[in-house]
Amino acid sequence: MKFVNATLKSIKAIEKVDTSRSLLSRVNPETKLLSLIIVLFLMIFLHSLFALLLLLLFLVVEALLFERGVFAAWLFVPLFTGMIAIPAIFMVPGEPIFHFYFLTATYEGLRAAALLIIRTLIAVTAVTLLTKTTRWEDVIASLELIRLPRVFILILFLTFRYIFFFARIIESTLLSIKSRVIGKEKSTSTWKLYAPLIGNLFVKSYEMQEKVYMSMLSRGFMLTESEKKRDVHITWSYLAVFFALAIVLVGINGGALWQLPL
Amino acid sequence: MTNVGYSYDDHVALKNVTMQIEKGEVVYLIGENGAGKSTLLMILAALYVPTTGTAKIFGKKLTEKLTKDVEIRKKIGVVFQDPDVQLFSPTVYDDVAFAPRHLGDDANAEKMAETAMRRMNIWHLRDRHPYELSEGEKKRASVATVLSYEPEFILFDEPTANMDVKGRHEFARLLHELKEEGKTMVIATHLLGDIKEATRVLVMQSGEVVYDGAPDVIENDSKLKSLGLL
Repeated sequence: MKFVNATLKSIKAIEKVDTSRSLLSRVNPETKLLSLIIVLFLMIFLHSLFALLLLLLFLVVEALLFERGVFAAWLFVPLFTGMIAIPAIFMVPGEPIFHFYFLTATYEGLRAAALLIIRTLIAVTAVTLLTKTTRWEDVIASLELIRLPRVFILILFLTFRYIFFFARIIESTLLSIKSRVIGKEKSTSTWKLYAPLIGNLFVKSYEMQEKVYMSMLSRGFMLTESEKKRDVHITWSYLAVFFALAIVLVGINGGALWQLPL
Repeated sequence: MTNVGYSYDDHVALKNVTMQIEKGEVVYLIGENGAGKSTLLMILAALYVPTTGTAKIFGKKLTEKLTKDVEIRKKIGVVFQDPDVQLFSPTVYDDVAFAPRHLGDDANAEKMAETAMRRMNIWHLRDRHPYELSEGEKKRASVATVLSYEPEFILFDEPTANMDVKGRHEFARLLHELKEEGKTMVIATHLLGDIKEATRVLVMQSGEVVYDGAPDVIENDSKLKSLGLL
């Protein structure tokens, strides 16, 4: 069950974001969420390859300065995006550049592939920068900034909270199974051992959801509409950098954002 | 409540329970696991509606509608056995402030949350995430979530489970204070040693109340001894 262990390990990694490690970790989550929105907005609407490359360069410098772990996420980009981008080089009609057997690469195809890969890298880098330097619960709480209903945020948080809760149950159950298994497990017997674990987890989650609802109801959940909003703090100096970047990139882009991305 | 019963599908959890709790009473519900303590607690908390018989809470008949009555919810507080059920917000502070915010006491929510957290000695944990806490801290936080809105009637389900000796002493002190404040309390436990503050004890077995009386005579009750409950 290497898969289960690997999943548990990655869940733990999400849980343990070190918020004191870099300067970026100390910027409040609301500000980082706003900066991410600006970056994603630019990523979608900029259509100049040069402007997009500059945006990517800015994020790379930010990652080099504050969170180098971001680059690990780049490994998946050629694998998944490449599968879509490479055929585009040959399939998009336009001015021919070179021939590869019976296929013809076009300038337009090459540009489309480059745009796709750069946009993916921008999105991956920006999102990873946020998630590597901000605890998930803070990211979820900061969604209030974009006026997401409080109930939606609470449901998101509950989902997040109980993922870890159930991950701990799985972990301790696996440990208990391991303590009673001698020798190497056969794949068929492994499934016989783990199937009840999945069943138990389902039953436990079903029982818990009712109790959690009771606990919420007993404390007035959804009975009144008067819940106070969280105080939102914005680090304007950090955000100003992104606004300045946006102005420069829009200028390079030719001023007009409202064109088709390609 | 009169002849109250409760069933989960085919399983009968509570049978013919008739009782009345007066203001200021500290009632201990004692019984083995599966005796029906938690189900009775949920009915007393106006969260479950009995499947048979009738129950009244603060003079009002317990119906599905009453379970969502804001005025009733303000008067009743429940501390669940499993703190993970009770702590679901992003921070401990948000959890403690949850009830004052939702029950419409917005203006005082912050002050009420701080008072409850200081009382339970968890103010220093206010910005922590509930899942990061130790079991003892979680238990104290879950009590604070109820104290924050100052209900008249407080129900505790196995409050000292997973608590260390110090935690048990602190909880005993808290119960004494709440009793002095005139709070009405029902505490479900399977530990006879915890009933010091009791003004009344109910013993449950297989969904029925088999003893209802003063705590000082419980140890000599021949019926309970014959049932193997003492």
